[in-house]
Amino acid sequence: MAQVIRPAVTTPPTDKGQSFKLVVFKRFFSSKVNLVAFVVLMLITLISLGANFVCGTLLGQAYDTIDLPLLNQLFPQQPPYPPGLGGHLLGTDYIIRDVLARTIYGGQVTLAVGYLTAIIVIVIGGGLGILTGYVGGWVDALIGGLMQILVNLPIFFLMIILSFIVRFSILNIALIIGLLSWVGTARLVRAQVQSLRNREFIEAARVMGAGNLRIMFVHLLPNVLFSMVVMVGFDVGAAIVMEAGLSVLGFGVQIPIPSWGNQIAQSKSEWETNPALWALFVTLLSLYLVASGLRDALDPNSQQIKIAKKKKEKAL
Amino acid sequence: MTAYILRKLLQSILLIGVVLIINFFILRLTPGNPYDTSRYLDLEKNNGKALTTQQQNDLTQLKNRSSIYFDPAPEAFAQWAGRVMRLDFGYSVISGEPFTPRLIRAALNSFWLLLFATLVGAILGVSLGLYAAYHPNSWQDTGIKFFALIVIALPGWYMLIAFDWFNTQLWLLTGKNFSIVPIAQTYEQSQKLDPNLLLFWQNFLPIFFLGAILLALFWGQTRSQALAVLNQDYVRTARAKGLRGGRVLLWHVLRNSLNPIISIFGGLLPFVFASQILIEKYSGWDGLGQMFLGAASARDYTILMAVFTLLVLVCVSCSFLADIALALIDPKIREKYQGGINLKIAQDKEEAENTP
Repeated sequence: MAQVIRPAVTTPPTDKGQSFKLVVFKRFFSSKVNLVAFVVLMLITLISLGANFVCGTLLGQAYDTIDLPLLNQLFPQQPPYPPGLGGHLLGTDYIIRDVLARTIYGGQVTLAVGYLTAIIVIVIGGGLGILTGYVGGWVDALIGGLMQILVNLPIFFLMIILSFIVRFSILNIALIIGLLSWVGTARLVRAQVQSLRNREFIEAARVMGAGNLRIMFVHLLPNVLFSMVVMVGFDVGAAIVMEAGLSVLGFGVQIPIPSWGNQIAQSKSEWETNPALWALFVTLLSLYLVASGLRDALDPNSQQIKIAKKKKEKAL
Repeated sequence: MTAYILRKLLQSILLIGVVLIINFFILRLTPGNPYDTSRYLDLEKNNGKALTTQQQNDLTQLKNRSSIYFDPAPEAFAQWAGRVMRLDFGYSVISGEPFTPRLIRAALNSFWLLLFATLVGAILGVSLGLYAAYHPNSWQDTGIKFFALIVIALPGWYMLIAFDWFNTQLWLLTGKNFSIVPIAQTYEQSQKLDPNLLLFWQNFLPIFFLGAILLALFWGQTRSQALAVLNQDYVRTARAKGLRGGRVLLWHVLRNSLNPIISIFGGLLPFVFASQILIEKYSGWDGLGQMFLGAASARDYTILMAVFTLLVLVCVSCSFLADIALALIDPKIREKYQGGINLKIAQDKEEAENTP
């Protein structure tokens, strides 16, 4: 993933009489592409969260991540059903498991990785970034060293080696990927806080008697929050790509649990591959669109806003 | 400047050491070893009878060979590091042969893939970016923008798989395709093609898909920077003084737009490697990724450590070079260290006084 590390964002000029958050919110949803991408992302989340309801009640397919060796003993391999046959909307694989149900359950892995990474990146990356940027000194040196190590580590290869020790399930793969991918955000936040900490408003807060904790979380955090959120979007994309890549190679989430990477790697018929490929495509694209839409909404010089202003001028 | 370079060099060496130690101890944590496995297999083969002398000799040899599994961890690491310092990566645990020649060949293969991908990405990206900056908001600009969006959002290996899928669809519809691996029924058709052309196409596809993300990156940076620079006074002055368009582009516009790319490229390398391992697998490129995957399924520690060492070396030295290049370009970083170590200490003191 391309992680474009931008220079410290100075707070953009807001429109008259409106808070910055409201302006960004309005700018973000004024673009139709952003709106569609956001809605699609939320839909995918909802479907994956309610996978039991969607598969069990709406599609009539029960949870079918069955133990593979046992199943092979009971049934000899048979030709898979093509799409539409026997109530299977997207067909089945070679041991008669519904492809649509597996794709929907596979989304759980991807979204668990995505959301857990987001939480970990915000908490650890943001927290350590603010701490190192504000405190400096030996704390900065120590945690900066840790960041240097994590930046230069070929994480994908390390994950393959880790898969020998840990048998990856949904939760622990999400945790490990999240714990390895907070560095970019932490560095960005650190750079911004370093440029902010000697400003007048921080000095004023200190004169007013605010403690270090209060300055960090009440005065500094809101200033770096939005650029942090943008960065989190790109980090989440990278994490999802990594999980899919690992599963494609067979080192990710293990076989009985369906994931999109597994499906791409192990499918033997074409209708089995397509849903996973399309699901990955739609998820990654909408995620990237949301992240870059947020970036544009935050950036006062972006083209979208200029176009919107021109439209307003024309209308006036 | 010398102080700065020395400081960065020492940091990089320390970094490589720490990363390798971490990786080594993680590998030592993995369960299982080749000695136990082959002893179990031999016993199973004998159907409960005792091991023959031949088998026992083989097993002792295997145990000697795989001392990296059995020695106490610090000693094993010290021995391994000592051998690597002498550029001897040792023997493969599984096959018992020295694998250094194979490693060098694989590394060269991977290096060519990466180099050509970077070249394709840089040349195509910069030229497309300059074109887009000269013709903003044309249909070509929009087309490139759409392509760059997809390429940034999706990894290279995904594009390769999707390309294969697209080929199958095309073949089903028209009976023709552009695949790397000829689809079974069209093998005779592919035989009719010019073999050089086929070779070029087979090599071009993985290179292009690996370089696509770099292409998008270079395109975006060049376009935005060139758009900002094109209307500046000094570019107009250069044109007015009679410089040719090409020279203005290369010397005045491009040089000022490449600074951020250098710093991004260093940090991007681990991600590019992750994409490369999958691309090598799907296109059958015999490189480090294939070697790593083969060793990973056989649990061959020595090969795994060797490949990992090479990758870490490349990553760290690239970020080291990026730091140096940035210091050469950016006078701010250079000046900070120009006064030598004394100035640094003074600055640190000043900083310490400023911090709460």
